[in-house]
Amino acid sequence: MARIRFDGLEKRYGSQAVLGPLDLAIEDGEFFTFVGPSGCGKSTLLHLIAGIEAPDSGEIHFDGDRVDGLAPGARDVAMVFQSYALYPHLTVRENIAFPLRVRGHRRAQIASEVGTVAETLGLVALLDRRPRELSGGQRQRVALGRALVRRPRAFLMDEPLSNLDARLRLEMREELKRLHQAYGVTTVYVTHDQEEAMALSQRIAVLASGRVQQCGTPQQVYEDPANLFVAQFMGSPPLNLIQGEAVGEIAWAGAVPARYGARPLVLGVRPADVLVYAQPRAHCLAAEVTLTEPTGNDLWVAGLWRGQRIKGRAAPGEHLDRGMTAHFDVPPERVYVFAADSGERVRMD
Amino acid sequence: MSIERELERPLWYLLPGAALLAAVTLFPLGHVIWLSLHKHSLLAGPARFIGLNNYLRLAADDRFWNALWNTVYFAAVSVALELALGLAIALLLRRAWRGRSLFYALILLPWAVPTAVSARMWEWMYDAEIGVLNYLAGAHVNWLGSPAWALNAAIAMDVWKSTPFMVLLLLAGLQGIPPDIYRAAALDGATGWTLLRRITLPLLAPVMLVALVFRTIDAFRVFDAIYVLTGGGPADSTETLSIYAFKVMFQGLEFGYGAALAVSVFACVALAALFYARLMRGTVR
Amino acid sequence: MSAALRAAGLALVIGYCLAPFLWQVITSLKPAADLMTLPPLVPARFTLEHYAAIFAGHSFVRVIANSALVAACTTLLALAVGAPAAFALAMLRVRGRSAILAGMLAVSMFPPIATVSPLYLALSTLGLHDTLAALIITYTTFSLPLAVWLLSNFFAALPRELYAAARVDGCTALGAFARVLLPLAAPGLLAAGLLTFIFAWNEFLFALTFTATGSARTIPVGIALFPGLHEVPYGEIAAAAVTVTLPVLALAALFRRRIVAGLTAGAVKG
Repeated sequence: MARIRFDGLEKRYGSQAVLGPLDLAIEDGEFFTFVGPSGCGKSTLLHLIAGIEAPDSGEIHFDGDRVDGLAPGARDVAMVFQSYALYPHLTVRENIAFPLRVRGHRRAQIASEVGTVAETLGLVALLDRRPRELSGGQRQRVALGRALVRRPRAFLMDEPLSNLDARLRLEMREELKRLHQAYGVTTVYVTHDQEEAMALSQRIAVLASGRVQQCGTPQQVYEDPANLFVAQFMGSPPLNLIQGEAVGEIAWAGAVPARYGARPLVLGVRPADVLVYAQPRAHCLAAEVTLTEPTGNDLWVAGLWRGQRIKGRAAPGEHLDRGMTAHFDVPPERVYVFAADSGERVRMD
Repeated sequence: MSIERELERPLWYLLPGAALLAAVTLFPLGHVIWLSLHKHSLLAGPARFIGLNNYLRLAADDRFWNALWNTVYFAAVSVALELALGLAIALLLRRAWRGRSLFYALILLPWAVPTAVSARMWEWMYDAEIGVLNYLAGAHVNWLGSPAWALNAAIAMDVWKSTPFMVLLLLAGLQGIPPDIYRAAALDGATGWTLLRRITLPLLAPVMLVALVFRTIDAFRVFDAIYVLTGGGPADSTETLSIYAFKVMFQGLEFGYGAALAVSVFACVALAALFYARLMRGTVR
Repeated sequence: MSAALRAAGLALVIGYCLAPFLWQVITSLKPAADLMTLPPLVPARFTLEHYAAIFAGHSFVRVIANSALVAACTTLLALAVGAPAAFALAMLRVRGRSAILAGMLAVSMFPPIATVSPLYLALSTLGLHDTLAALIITYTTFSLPLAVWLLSNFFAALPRELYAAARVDGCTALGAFARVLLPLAAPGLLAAGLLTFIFAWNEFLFALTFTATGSARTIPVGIALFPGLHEVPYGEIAAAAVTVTLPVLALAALFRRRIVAGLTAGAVKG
């Protein structure tokens, strides 16, 4: 177990800053996720924690001990790579045993540890196979096994589920959560899938261009985004945006301001919060339906209002088709207000 | 140290190799250039610095120019023949067929066997009296004994030896051309000869260039074949630069002048390499 | 192209490449009396007297043994020195990596005649004249560029994450190299080893210059300078040639894919 702290951590490629400066602490035993789009620096961060790359400035501490000068093998962290990085020339058993053999554990002890991990992950039948004979999901579990067997201070996971098909991904997500609850090891997880991040983590940090946009619990980050980027990145379907002149038109009854001083604003509201009706209603925006997406549970309706796209949720049976007029109910208390220039969230109290 | 800080460590992995290369190739090269500026006969006393006199002697030496001409002729003709023959055979073998890797192994044999051994084989075949070539051709040509024929006989042997290598390289290059290109061209109505000229050869050009570089440099350095086949004769008609340099050094025991000759071989090879490098940079565009 | 034409073409190519060898085989089995006359091409009776002759005095056996020893040692040394170097160039961050590789390529183009005289002088001073060690050191060095170049391509083709995973699992850089990367580069090691072996087996100029007596003589020199009193013993030379060609044929047949892969890797990747 370890409490991980980053002090002014920075990484550059040439003159381009890839990451940082980063100041953050991950609690002991916490499942912490860095989430962001490709290229935001999250994999780099994981490499820095593991010791595969060295920071250009700043420090990393595990439980107060400085580790950023140590070789990867000396940091006692285990990593699961996106491509699993299983050793092709070794069997599953040998792959899992590898970290223990390198550290010189006794053969009997290795055998029992490997056996335990194999049982936990359902790999017993596959122990004598080679990685190339395994399916994607099986390989992923072997990679997990190789990490688990070491009982490290921390787990580092670099998008371990992104190479799996949708159904398997959901299964493995549950498995990962269960494992974390059973073992309680500090886990630093990296993904671009915000839904995955929310489902798995105790805390999330949203990264963009190497800077932390917001750090908090999944609920905090979803309900109370710090800026436009976070609001748009989290949640699916993505945030509805209303900008420009149209902002003034939806500023009803002072509940939503038209301007903040002289600064133009952008309004955002989640499609999940917008209810759509076929019949007219008070305080609704009337828009022409451009397409509908029935997903079994919901009927997502997209429309065009004052030239802006707006999406909302209708009751599954509601009769709405392309070309018809639908009524989008935008509850003012669910509207987020952002400054149009900086993307900063503007709070009204 | 974290992995990146091992910038110091990689040098340990490179050190043994670097040491060997420095000691056995770079240092001797420097030494031979230095030697070429001295008069150093192993028979006479210690070496004496004479500046560029060896090179002046080189420029005035008819035997040097003869050797240079022989070398250039040898290289040009053999490489051209190898390329033409290799290309013809590669085009013939292009399509995949079963058992072809055994076939490749067999045709590699001339390349894989020591040149000295091949030279003795061919010496036997070239014999004027009892050689099988004369017998089969019903002729009585003095292949290795007449100045007119000797160098060409050596070229023929070198072509025999090196063509398989050329074939393999060109085949690899041909296999690298995506078949879709041919299908597209066929749809456009192109036929055999046009396909060859317009598509195959241009796409094969980079590989041909690489093959040419290797073979030209090897041809300029030729020693084994000529030494065993003719020893440089008759009447110096097959004496190439390497042979002449060798004789001056290890028969005449003149290391100073021999070094100058050796440096001239190096200069030729370097020039050829630079020429091809310039060409290759051109084709990459 | 019709199948018949192609078959004829293939037969022609095989014939062109192998006919001289065939002639050597026939020559080696021809009785001495029939050697100096043509016809007949193929003798009425075959004899093994030439083979017996070359193996009689054991001196030719010595020559073969020398070549085998030199080639084997060269191959092992070249791989032992070249593999780590290739690993470093491919996987570790080395400044001037492409310059180093280009420099190695340049060295491989040196004409042997340019370096033979200083090496001869140095080896004589060191007392290494006429020893196998002189050949082994020289051959190892000259095969390094090709071996390193081939192997570094192999290492570079391996997924980089394997090295990182091994490091995180607790290996030192050397440990990661030995336990994970080297086993995976086995095909490359084989290809480089084969090409190095063939190079050492065939080398002539250095062998000629650095050795004087039969104690360190290798096959190419042994056959080039094959002893003969009054006339050239073509029968015995043929027997010797056939004998030394057989192992090469075996190697080429057994490892043909590796050899071809090694040779063509250069050209196609440029």
